[in-house]
Amino acid sequence: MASRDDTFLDDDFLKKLEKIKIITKKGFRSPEMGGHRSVQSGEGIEFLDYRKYQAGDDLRYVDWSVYGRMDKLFIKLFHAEENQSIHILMDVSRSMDWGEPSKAVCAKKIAAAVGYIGLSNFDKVGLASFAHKILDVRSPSRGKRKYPELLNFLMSQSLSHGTNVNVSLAEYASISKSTGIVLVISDFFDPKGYEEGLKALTYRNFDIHVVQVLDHQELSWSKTGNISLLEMETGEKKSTFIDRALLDLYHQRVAKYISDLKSFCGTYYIHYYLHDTRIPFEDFLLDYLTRGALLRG
Amino acid sequence: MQFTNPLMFLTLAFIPILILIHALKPKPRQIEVTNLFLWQEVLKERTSHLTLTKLKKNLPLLLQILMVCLAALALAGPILFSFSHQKGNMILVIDTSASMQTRIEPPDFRIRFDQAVDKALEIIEGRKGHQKILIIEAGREPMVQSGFLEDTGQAKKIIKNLKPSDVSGNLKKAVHTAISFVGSHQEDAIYLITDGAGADFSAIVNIHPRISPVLIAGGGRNIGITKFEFRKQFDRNDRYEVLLEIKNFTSQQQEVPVHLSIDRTKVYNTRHSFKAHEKRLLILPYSGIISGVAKAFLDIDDDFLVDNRAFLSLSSARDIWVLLASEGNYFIEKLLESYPNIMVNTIREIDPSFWNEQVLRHDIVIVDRMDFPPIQRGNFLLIDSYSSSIPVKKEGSIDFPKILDWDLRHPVMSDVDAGGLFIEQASRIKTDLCLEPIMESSQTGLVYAFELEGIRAITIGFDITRSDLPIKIAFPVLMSNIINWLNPHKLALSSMHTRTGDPIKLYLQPQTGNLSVRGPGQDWEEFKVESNPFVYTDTKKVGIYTYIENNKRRYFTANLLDEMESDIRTPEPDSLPRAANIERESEQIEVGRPLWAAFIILALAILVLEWMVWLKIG
Repeated sequence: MASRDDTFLDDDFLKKLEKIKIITKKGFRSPEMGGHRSVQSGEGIEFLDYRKYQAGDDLRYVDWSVYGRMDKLFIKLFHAEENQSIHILMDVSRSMDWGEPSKAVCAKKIAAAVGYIGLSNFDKVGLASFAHKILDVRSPSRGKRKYPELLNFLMSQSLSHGTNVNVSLAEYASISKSTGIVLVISDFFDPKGYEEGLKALTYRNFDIHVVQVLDHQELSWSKTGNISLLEMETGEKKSTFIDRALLDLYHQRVAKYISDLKSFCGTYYIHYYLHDTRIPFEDFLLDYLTRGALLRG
Repeated sequence: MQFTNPLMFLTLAFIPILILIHALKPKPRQIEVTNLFLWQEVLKERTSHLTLTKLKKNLPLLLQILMVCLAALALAGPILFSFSHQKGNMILVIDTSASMQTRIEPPDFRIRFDQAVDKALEIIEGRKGHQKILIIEAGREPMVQSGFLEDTGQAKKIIKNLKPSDVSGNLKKAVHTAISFVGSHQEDAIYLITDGAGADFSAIVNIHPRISPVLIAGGGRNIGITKFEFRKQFDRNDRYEVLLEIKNFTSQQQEVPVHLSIDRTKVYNTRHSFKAHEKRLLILPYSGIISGVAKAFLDIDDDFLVDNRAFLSLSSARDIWVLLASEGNYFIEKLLESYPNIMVNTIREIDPSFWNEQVLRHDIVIVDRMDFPPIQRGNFLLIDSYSSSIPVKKEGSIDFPKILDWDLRHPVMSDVDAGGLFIEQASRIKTDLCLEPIMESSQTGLVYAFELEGIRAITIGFDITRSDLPIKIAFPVLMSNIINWLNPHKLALSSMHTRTGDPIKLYLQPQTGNLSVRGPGQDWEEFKVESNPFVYTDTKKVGIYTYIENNKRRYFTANLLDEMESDIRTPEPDSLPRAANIERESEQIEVGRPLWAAFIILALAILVLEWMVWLKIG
């Protein structure tokens, strides 16, 4: 069982999360009835609308009291109750072990919180960690009692490989048995790109949510002088003199990189969130994700 | 361009040191990053601006090298020579003599000196290019008030600080001083700002062709005192005569009330009428106590007030204390007894333990044929007596020396006839300071008079009892002269006064160490007495001066009493010789302009620029 140290999610926060649901605008067919109201009418208990009876309609749904008053047959429509799967893909490459707190800690917190929300709402929650490929997969399961297992999975992930987002996401798209909501948590710092991976998930009709986790120093680099830059994942070195002008260029380049990702996501109807690790995790989850309509209270 | 100190270019050796310092880069800090590919893109983008980047990177070094170059240039003393129409420097001679206090006609009641200041400021304002200004104050003695100034403001400040005094001017001397500053190329201009009164102005202007007179006129009505003296009547001890000379310098008849007071008691008050240019000597008899300050005053509101009053500090004879150290000298003792106001203390031998105290308690010390301990202060008559503290030494003796000559111009030998003087034996005298004897034989000096560091002494180099001097007429005359010369207080009536601007000798008591003096309308000034008599020089104001020695208050006075200075009429401009046209000669001259300041300013500007670069790019 995973230990819940002080830096992780406390009980009060988990109680707050229980009141939140994860929503998707896409309807997903599943052989099992779920706990989510579908935008489609169907079998359920929540009244949606009336419509005129058509041949072939189930007579059980005819509103006989209306027929008595108006002498016309009307069918009662209900919200279909759907089953929802949530796939959390977490980047555990070495670059995530950067910053204070590290990006990996923030990513794990987001995964744990979203997973807990899903489990609380009787959604199926699956987890996968990736770096240069899919490293570990936990099959989707439901029920709050699965939360400790989820935590165990998160805690057991080590940060020791390089990144290949395209390969990892494409692999997950191919091995995943069900579709649903997929939450990709990564810094997306991959010189080989991320586009193909995200496209692969799109082709499987996932409702994709991307959370780009970055440290504040990565966004607003401030160190100047004679510096030797050491790439964490490849060990490559580059010595240079960083002055104000180079800083400005860097800030522009990082802003463009983020902007490109955001723009790509917009093109493919992918929800994009940027998490600056300087922003408290609770604020990010309750404010940014709620505003971005992944979560609903 | 020339360099006055080219060796300073050696400071350029700092440039390689600077380059070396810049070449020593610190080891880079290693920092882990997660997005080196982004950095590489950024660095690739910067490489396209590499030249500019390198320039920016090396900008501090380039600026420092430039700064060193400029500093080296400045230190090398660069001078830029160019040809200019500039006619050299200007020398301002501004008259501050008493006549410059003449009031100009109402209504403004300004004095001539105010107008002179305005003219001087106008000339300074009209200075051309880099003309330098030298200011000479023409008072009793010319006084150079500044070096050649380039700063107009400073020159104006000096002019504004000048004040006219009550002294007679010496314009000619001031002009000669100014000429001594005229450059060899003769391009400098001397501006003589004066009223031209009391001097042969035409002759002064003609001294040098570069003199440009600036004549200050206005006011001219003056009646003044030109002489003021007291004398004792020969026949009566308590009767005196006051000599007061008054001159009307105007061309009209003037009536003037004349007042005379002695120690605040009015003794004379009469109205006199003077014809045009009349000079009259008034001799006024006076009997009574003759002590205090006499003041003569002309009660007239003319244009020149300085000579309307004159003062005399009078004192009657007082007791003189003489210490006679002698084993017995009949002639000296008898002679001293004959002076009514000389009090004599006689000692037969000198006790070294009391000697200094005894000396300080007496006005005059006579040592007769005794060697005596060293002394530091005092007035001495030494008759064949010697000490290690005086510069006259005995080196043997001479029998029957024959008188060769004596200095009649010296006050001690005044009216003394030493011809035919018989001396049985005299000391062969050697002096440390090459003193000139005031009486000498062919073999040695016989009488010396000298003053040094508090000691005033006369040495007679022979025993007067072994000569016929005591029985000659010359003896009492010589002794009177000696006592008058040694003694600060005269044997008869004395008046302590001087002309304004002249130094006055204050004969102080031997023990006086400090002296306080206060001039008219001035504050007390403290002096340390290092010689006796003490020479006081700051007598620029007409009036009564007070001085305190040993808690005793005494007075002396200073008066203009100068008929030339009181003649305040200014020469007619038409009568002046045509002044040299300074602007006429306009051939070009080579002018050197020092550039070091410009280079220093440039270097400082670069320093500021480097600071800004450092702030911007780190």
